[in-house]
Amino acid sequence: MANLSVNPKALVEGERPGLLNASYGKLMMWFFLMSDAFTFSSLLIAYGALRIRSIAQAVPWADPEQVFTHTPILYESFHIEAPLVFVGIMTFILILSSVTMVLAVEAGHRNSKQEVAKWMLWTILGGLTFVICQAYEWYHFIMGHDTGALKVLVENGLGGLRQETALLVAEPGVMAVKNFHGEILATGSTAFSNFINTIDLVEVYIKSGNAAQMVPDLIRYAQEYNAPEVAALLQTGLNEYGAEGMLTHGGANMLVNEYGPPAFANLFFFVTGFHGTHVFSGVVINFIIYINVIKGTYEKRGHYEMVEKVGLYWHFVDLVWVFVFTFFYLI
Amino acid sequence: MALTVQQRNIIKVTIILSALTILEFILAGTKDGIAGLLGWQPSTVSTLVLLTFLILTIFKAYYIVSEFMHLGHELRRMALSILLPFIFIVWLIIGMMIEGNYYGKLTKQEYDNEIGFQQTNTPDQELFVLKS
Repeated sequence: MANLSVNPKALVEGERPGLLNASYGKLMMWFFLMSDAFTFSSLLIAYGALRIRSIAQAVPWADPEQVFTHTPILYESFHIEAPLVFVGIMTFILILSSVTMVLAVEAGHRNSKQEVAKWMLWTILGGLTFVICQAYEWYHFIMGHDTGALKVLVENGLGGLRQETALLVAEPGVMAVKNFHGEILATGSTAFSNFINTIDLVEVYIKSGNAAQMVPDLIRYAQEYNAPEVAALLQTGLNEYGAEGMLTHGGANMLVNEYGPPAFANLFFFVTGFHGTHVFSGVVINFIIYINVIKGTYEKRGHYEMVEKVGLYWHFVDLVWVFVFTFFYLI
Repeated sequence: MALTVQQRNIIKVTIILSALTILEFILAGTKDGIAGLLGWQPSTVSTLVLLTFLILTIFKAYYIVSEFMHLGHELRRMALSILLPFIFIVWLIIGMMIEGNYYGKLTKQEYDNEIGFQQTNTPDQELFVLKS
């Protein structure tokens, strides 16, 4: 057993190549990354399983191209919807910060302190930019889009299983129930009242627009289109909360969202939030190592293996984003 | 400044990763257009595009792990001891996709039987009673 005893100095100094020709610290980083990869895999597999279940139930899943359409400047100044452009930019920022990280590692092999510091700083800046971009994306995901519509939360049977959300759209002369993709599920008096009678209405939200005018209009349309349940529900809401009190901005929270089944928003928050936490902690760790590089800690030590270890973590964060990008935004 | 061999390699991998990302982005934006242009079924095209996304993602992952994380230049037994446990993830993916589809196709009654719950309707509330 004596051969297996650990030399405390080797833990720090990155010696003891051993059977796998890797230092203790590097191996432990790999083991940690493996366990983290299993966690992220489980989350993404849960996303896949719930999405496939939803499709098998004929409940449409969210369409990323209609969800992620906000791009800074394009949206604020020109009101242009540009699907997936912003997330493409975010992906590039993260890939480029991964490149600067690998350049820092390469400079470390040449013991070039100044170059390591330079590339580490670029990496930290890239990571911070990514986190800020994610905050922008979350803000618009939560706030939703501008279009006005009435939202009806439909719950069938057990808990969340058959939970559905439909948009109840009222325009002059038309009252219709649409799904997330804008396909009309029911319109016209008979079809409409048949549809309404098959579901349990739980909650009604006015998404945006002029609520004071929209709610009375909706009540009138509902009566015209032979849907007294909807009219009564709206009237109750109006009496209890007032038109402004029924106003929400759509978007997303943990219970309901305008894009698709509740699980879609929940998983979006969980997976991108968990990834964002990794990016943020990566920035913090990179910063600590950056300070050490500046102070000359690794120059004295004679090698820059610590930069390689945080580099492994940073590339892993990039790797996870490659998968999140594919599964949440592209497919 | 003359570039080292390693730096050249890094630039090469950067170009590959960027090109694959741009390709994915273009495919996502034009898949409806492609379907119209070739006169294929939109569902066929979206299945093909989905497969392409998966393949491109695996390529990107390969380059990041192999070059950036340097696993391609480690000892073979080192690389394998990191990568082989992910066989279990492949198994989990297949298992959970089948399971998700199965649960989605159950009717409400079948689902109730499956999880061992039984629903009783009372005038003012719904009770869920565990089957003994």
